[in-house]
Amino acid sequence: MARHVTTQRRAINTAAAWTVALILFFPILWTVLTSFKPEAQAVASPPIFLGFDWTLQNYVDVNEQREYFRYFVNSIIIALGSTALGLALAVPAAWSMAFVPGRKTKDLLMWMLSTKMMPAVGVLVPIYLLFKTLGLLDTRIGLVIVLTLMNLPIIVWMLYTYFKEIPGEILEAARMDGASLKAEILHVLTPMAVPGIASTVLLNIILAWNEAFWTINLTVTDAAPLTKFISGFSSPQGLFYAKLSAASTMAIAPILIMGWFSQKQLVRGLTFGAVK
Amino acid sequence: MAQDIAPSQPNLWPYILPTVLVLGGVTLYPIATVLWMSLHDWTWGGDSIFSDVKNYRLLWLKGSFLIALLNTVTFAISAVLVELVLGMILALAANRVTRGAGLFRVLMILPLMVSGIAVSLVWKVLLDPTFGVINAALGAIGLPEPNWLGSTTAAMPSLVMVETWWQTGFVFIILAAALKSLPEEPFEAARLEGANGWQMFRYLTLPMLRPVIVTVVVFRLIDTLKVFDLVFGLTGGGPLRATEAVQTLTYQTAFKFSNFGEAAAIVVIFSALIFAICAAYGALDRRTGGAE
Repeated sequence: MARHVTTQRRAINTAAAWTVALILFFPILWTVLTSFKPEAQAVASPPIFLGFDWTLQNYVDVNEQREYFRYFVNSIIIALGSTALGLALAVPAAWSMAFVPGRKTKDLLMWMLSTKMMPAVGVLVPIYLLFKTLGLLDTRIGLVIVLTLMNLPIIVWMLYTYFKEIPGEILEAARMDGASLKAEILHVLTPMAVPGIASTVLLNIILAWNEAFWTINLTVTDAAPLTKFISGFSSPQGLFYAKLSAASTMAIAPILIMGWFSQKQLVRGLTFGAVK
Repeated sequence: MAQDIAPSQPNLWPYILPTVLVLGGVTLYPIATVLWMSLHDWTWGGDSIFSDVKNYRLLWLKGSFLIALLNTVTFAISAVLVELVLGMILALAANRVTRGAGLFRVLMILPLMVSGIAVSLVWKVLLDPTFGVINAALGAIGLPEPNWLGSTTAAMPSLVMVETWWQTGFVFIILAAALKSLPEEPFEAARLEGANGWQMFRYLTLPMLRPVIVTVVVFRLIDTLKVFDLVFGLTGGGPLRATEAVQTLTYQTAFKFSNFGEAAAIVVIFSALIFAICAAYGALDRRTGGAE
């Protein structure tokens, strides 16, 4: 009898959970659908769900107005560049802290994370001035540096969590065989840490891809990524909603597709390795 | 590993130092600059005059900072509360979803992958009072059609709603992971004792999840206190300052009114506030033994 009640409740629970999941998905679905509508049908009342005249015109128009591809390339360069630079700095640091922890390690990690707490707007003026002096405004390298710095604490923290789970005995064995510190990192540790590093890379790419505040304020055209591309599309109410949706879709599609296919690594990244 | 700390131990500072130096530099330089600016009358390229605490006093007198602070705190607390409750319910439910668990999970975290600026655009279209699909749906079933972003009473709840849509997935994914890692035995024992679902949640799940919940809340709190993209993209702080947040106020003060001294003063006070939250969390973390 008790079992019967449980089964029924379980079915209700499952149905409710799926309903919420679909509600969460709806805004994205609607945006994609709207992007294929002619402008007039995008604001039709009552709204048309599927039975509209499907068109690619919005994508063509948006592309003609502003060259999507240039922004897309900048987004890729900035996301990959900042991730690579971040890893180069963070892997040695996280490795040291994980395998030779000192009394201050925990404090050091906490401090690193605390640097992320500073409100971005407050840091903008000093950084802007510095970038102006150094000629880094509207350059890809400038954005790569800023985004690296922004995400570095998270990369270190995540890698530290993963590295800590690697058993120390393996390292000792390698050391006995006379492996140098460099060889130890390159040939013993890194292969074992690949899943953790993959998750870190993935999360970092998403963070860098989506970062809007710095990318918008420090670029004009040359280095502008997709965040800048869509920020130019805030339009008057009701006008160009289909084009707006096409621009949004083009900006978020690459990252959504990547996230969809690597959700396992992504989830592990988001939970800082707490789930295997 | 204890015997590892032998004389042969390599010196590791060269490995940590680059990160420490880089982070230290990018923290100290802006802090110093902002502190200095807050005590000066400064404009682009112009002379700067030492102005003592004038900027702070003006902030206090104008009152717009207090409004923004109040708005921001309201936004942060309501959003985190909703995200926590919703995320918890969904995590508990997800524990029971057996078929299509992967699809369920990916649907939950999809919004997380959308950048704040795109979130604003997406929701601007959805929430449009005349052409938006949400009001069309509400109208069709005879419900009132609110002016989501355009009225002083609805704008803030609307922002909280969008933020909740965006970030509940984060709370969900962490709580779901934590739930999976809980031991089975206490629940078995409680079931044998005849405990019902609520009792088990209240006296077993909740206490065991406490450290994770605290961490998630602190993460989300800091993030929501720093809200910028959503306010900037959806309401611009309006109508009538109803949704003005600290960061958008700082941005306007600095870049619209070129009042850099005052903007810097806002940053100093606000950073101190966020720092206090972190310190409180650190103290709490240490007292409860820390989440290792």
